[in-house]
Amino acid sequence: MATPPNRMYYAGFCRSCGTGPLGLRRCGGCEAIVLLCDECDAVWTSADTSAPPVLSEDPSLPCPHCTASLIGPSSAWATREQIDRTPWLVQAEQQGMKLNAGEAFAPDGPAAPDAEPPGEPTDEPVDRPAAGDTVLPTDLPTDAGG
Amino acid sequence: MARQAQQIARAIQTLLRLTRGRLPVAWIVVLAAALIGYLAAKPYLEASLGVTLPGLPSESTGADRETRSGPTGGGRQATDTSARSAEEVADAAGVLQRVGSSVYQSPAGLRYTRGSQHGHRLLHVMAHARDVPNRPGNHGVFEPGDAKTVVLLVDAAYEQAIAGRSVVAEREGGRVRYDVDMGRRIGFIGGQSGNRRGGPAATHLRLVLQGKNVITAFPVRP
Repeated sequence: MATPPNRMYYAGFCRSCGTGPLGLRRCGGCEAIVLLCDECDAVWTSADTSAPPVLSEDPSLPCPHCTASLIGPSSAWATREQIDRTPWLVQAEQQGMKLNAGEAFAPDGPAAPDAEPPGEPTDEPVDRPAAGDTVLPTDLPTDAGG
Repeated sequence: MARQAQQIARAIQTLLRLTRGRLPVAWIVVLAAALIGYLAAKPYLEASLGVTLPGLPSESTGADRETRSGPTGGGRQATDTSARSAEEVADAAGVLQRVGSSVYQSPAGLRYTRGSQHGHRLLHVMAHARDVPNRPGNHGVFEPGDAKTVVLLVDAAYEQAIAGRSVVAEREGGRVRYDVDMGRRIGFIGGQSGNRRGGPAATHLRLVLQGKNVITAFPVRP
């Protein structure tokens, strides 16, 4: 099921700008999924958001893997099925990364050609970490606006 | 800038119409030069002095036209930039100078370029002129949210930041994030989290820059 254009799955919030949800963005070029800040466009290629983000000066926001535009018409917010097919995300969820679905700041462009029919993500957490699991440091830290 | 040129042309036409046959040509030339000088310097004087100077009648209504009630109720004003181009927003602001293809420079020298999921940084910043109640987390909202006020407020925050007054700065990977205490209410905190708390007032402005390029700017609570 595809994520509707203005809906996204996200994994906490950006530590770089302090506010933007980290949306799971699927590159239309190489189909890799990255964490993309909905506010400041910082990108992480893994769940370790304590690592330095990729901060591009290119307005097309190139994918760190293949340089296709992450905001071009063939890129889109990742679906639940696409997330489930991505090993690093599966592993991160098993280690406690919490995914939620919510409204994206900017409406997405046209859906990827291979996108499936619209789905119905909810605002509820889709996977809650089990007791004792480590939650990655991506939760909103402050009262900041974003 | 295009808007400014239109205003000057309109002012000259009005001056010629009103003075034709009533004043010597030399006087008309002097008046026209003074008028052009005033209209050209007005945005910079307003930015540097922090005041609103009188302009042509159509000028003063520009900001009014672009404001309307936001979707969150409570009579809050917001700017709807959703269907407008960066050029239209820049013209409405009246203080931005076009310095390249889709590049607009503010009086303080900040540059708004293409980029972001809104397509242009100016549209991205102006998306903070209205609440997005269902956005996860906090969403800072400028109030008032007309383009001129927002652009000049961001400029004021930038000038305060580089002067080192009431600012916290963090740098990472070529970017700098400023949290600037503006000393007054500049908006409120919306989004899901902000609205759960009744939309608390925001007195700080967070400004993220890459060089002089604006990445984003929005009201925050420290």
